[in-house]
Amino acid sequence: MIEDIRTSLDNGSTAEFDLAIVGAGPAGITLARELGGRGYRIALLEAGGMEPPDDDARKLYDADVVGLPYPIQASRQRFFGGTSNHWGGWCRPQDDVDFETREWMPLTGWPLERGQLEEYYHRAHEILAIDSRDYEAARHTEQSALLPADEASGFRNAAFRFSPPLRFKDAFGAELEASNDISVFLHASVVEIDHDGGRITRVGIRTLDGHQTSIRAGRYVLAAGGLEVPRLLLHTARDGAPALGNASGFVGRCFMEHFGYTPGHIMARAGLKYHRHQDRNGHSIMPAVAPRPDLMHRERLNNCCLLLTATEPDAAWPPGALATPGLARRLGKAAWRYRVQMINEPTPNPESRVLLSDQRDALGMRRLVLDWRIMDRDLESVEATVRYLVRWLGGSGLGRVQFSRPISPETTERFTGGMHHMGTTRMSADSGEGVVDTNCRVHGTENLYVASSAVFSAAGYSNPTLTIVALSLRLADHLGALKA
Amino acid sequence: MNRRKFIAMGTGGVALVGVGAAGGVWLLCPDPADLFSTADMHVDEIARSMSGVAGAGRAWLEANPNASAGKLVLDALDLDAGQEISRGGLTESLAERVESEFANDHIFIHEDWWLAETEARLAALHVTLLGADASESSAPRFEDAPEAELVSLQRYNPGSVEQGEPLSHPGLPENVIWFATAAAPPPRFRVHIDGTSLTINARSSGFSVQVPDALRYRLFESPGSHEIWLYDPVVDRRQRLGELRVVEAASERDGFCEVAAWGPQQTQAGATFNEQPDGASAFWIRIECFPESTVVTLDGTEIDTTLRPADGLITTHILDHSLYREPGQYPVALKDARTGESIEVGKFVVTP
Repeated sequence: MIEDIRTSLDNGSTAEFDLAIVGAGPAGITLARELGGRGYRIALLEAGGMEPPDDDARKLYDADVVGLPYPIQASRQRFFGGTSNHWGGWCRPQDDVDFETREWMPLTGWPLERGQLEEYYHRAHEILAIDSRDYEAARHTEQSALLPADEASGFRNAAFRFSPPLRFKDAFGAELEASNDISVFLHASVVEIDHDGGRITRVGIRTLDGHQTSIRAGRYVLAAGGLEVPRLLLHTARDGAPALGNASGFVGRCFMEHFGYTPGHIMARAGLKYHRHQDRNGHSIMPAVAPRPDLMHRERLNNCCLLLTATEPDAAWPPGALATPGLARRLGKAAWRYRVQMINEPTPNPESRVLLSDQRDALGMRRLVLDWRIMDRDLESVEATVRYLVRWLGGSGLGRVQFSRPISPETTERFTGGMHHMGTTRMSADSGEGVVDTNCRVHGTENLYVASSAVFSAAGYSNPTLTIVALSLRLADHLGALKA
Repeated sequence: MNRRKFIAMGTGGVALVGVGAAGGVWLLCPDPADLFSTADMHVDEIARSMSGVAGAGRAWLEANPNASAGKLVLDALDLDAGQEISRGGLTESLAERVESEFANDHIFIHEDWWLAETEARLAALHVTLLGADASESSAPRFEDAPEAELVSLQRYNPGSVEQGEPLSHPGLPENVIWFATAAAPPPRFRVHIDGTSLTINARSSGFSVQVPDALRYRLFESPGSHEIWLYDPVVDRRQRLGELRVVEAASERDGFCEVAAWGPQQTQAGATFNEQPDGASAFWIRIECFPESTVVTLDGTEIDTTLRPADGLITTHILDHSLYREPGQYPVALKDARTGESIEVGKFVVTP
């Protein structure tokens, strides 16, 4: 059932459940649906209602941005369904290389292998109604419409697939309303987490009109986003002792965001199809150019992808110039100009972080401070990737590159993100290097877990929702086995 | 310069070529790739054939005022000017040279285009050989594009903005205009507003554009309307989508503009008009500008008023039906509660 906590639980009361899930976005709803019917009585706590928040509720997300500019408010959705209410449906699993420890990118490396997520990725595709799981663009888009990115090129043709996009509220609201095992409580903002010897004993809930309740459960999952999860954990610091999971000091650190950058344009064969289109099977696909793992390893590059959009030619070097004999022998046909947009993987950077302000919001919680930073080496990697693109296209007779925006302090100030908040409670095998273990259990606790992009150890360039759902399914299997 | 030599026969395929009506002579000539000539002739011909490279060529010459572009090209290809070579052979050498220059960062940058040094020299040779006849390039201009229907537009929001305020519409982030269309447009489309070209964010049900602050501030300079165009740079076609109205900031207004329209203008005695979900009656008044302290009066009685300056709209909410219980004609007016200034909107007719 779905209820307003202000009317379903008396002020000052405490309700008992087997599992309390904090956050009813893609992670929390997936987890609840998976565990419903598996012996758990579940409280799914949503801080907002069923509709977008009003001004007072939105103000709860007010934060200080002290690093790179960041649209905190626009990137969060405080109502049932979470950010699935505004996502664009872009999907792609993390690449194998994203799971690797890359010594040139400090703190990379998941304590999992990509293969351990495979079956969950498979099921996540079904949940998100993605019509294809094949991410090799070359198998689905005609060869003449892609750049011939062979092994020697250092690049490859990757692809994004698409969820409709699935709005979890519309897709699963009725199912949760009808559920006997799952109680969804709306307007249930968790403001405190009580713990004793590493065991969570209770979460305290408060509403904007002063209603206070508690939930006690055997297990707890923080399924909010990559900003709210560390905020909740950081609030658990008491009497000089570190916050839960923060013996390593990593709670709130390594905030990662896929930073976008438009370096310029390329000239290549006309008719390339790197925009979203229907593939041979009628499935939605958007190819993208990405560096191959061997190029990344050899040249110590971050992962990234390049999106190409046909645009008007300019007068400085028009398509006709490449028709000159000998200048572009593998062009194959007339040339055209394409705008290049890069989606870039950041290096996990402990200085890029979420902190707590001394200011408090209307619920008495300390406000967030976001200090988003991008390391110099990440910028160098972006520039190096563009230079390899110059070499590849020019050096193999395929085209040219117009590198209009070399990295500079001015350009970094204008970086945009994908509104993907990752890494702030990173997964690590060793409690000294992260916040949650491979089962997403918070290090040093018995019964507290995280289902969120906050646990990403590395960001890759893939949009996070598919991996969030896959990790939630994996956590559900783990919790289901514990219950059994 | 008279360096041309007679065409020599190669060993490859042949083609029948007419030499000219005057001579009336026909020769069997080789495939162009097999034409043998001197290296300098081939290089000159390739340079002459280039298209749209005058700008790059002039830039190279400016950067290298004392250099001979043609000689440097030949040197780069390891060829002497008078050396016999087939056209195909030279083209192959040129391609290898250009590609190796990219591999070795031997680059000339022109307007941010990273070009091989040798192709830039070829462009320079093109300018040297053709002078004023060098091939200029002009990018297609949005302003010159013919009109065509690019999308089937259903609606767009917001259509107006108040000076100094962000563009806003319920459900949209600030400074975003949303266009609902029957199908998703290709992402290459651009929106043009007041000379600024904007990237679109395409979705399955339409697209949006983010209006940058620089454009917004420029639009704010004076109230008025600015056309919104959609442009497809690949087929060079454009479609007028509508206009963005900039209305005067409330604080800047001296008073009321002229009322453009209003309604309802009549009801039956005691009967609710323009009924709202809560049973209230409501007037709507279209007016470009009005003070921020405006209230609507009905027969001198102030009524609950909502001001929507960005939309040029005033609405009311009347729960007290006694205001129009008796038949008659009652003046509807706009009143600036701060100054007392008032303008008449019209007469509201209450029929028996």
